[in-house]
Amino acid sequence: MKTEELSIEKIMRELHRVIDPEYGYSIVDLGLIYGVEVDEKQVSIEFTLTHEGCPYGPMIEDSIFFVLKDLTDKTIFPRLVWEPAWDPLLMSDEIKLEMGFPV
Amino acid sequence: MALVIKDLKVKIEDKEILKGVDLTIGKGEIHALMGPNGSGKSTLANVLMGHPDYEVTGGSIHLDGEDITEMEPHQRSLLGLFLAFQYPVEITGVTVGKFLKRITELRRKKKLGKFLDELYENFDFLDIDRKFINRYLNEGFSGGEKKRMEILQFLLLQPHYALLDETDSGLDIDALKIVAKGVNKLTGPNMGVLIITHYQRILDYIKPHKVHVMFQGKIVKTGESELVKELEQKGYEFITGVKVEEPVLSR
Repeated sequence: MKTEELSIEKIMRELHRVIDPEYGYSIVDLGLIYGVEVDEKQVSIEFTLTHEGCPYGPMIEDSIFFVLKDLTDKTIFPRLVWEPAWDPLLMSDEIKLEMGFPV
Repeated sequence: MALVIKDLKVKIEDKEILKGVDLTIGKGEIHALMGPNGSGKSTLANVLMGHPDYEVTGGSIHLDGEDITEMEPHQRSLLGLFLAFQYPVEITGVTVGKFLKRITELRRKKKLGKFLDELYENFDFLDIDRKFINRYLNEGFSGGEKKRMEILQFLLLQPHYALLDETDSGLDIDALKIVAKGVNKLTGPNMGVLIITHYQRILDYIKPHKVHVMFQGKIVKTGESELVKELEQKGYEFITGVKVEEPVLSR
């Protein structure tokens, strides 16, 4: 039984460890995490991928589970959604600066 | 440790422009280079940086003991030489932010995970609107904005030797003060600076240790900052012996 307090900050910190292989940046910095919800039974992570043809969906889903599983006994539930469609402007300012997008 | 120019002779398309320039800029020194239009001041700056259109026909350029006379511009840049252009070029498609980050990384020889804060700090210091980060480099910039963008690069690159080619031309007094503020922030014992200017105004804000006058491809007189006052009063004629058809130095 995990007695540590589970906070959104802790979850986000762990999610930073999940890297999108096509960009080489964390899915958090890329703006791919749309929502994090914690209730009694589960931790629900709503996320998307950079494009519909992205072949790394299952891998990213597995990684989300992997980085969070030791934080809590609750069920880890990654949910892939396609709406709203991801946009490069959702990336962090530092990444946008690096790639030449408006900050 | 110095930038040593020895008997430099340069031509472009069969026309000899520099006819034996001798100049040594040591670290910690600020030199001013003045002279009438066509004397070769800007040519000297461009040749020092390695402009491919010019051909060195004699003499040499050494940076901290290393012969850079035949080096490519980027090689000279990586050795710590910087040129603030007289007419900065517009580069569409490359944002100011991305450009500044990339050149800083190359200069410091490492990737920078965080750069935005440092960027904002320098923008604010030079009174440049932060929105310029997203503009394409120099595209649609006014003359003053282009000149300040050159000084912004200067602040980020922290060169060992800086050549400022008429950085003051076309600037109003407020813009001029900001350029001087930027230059004075970095000048010190570790930097050598050559200010090429047609007007003496900027030298009210950036004090030179030595002042040189160039005429017809050579340095014909060197003095201390008092020389600037003399030039302002008498014009270039008293040095060159030739009546020059242009306004006297001060604006």
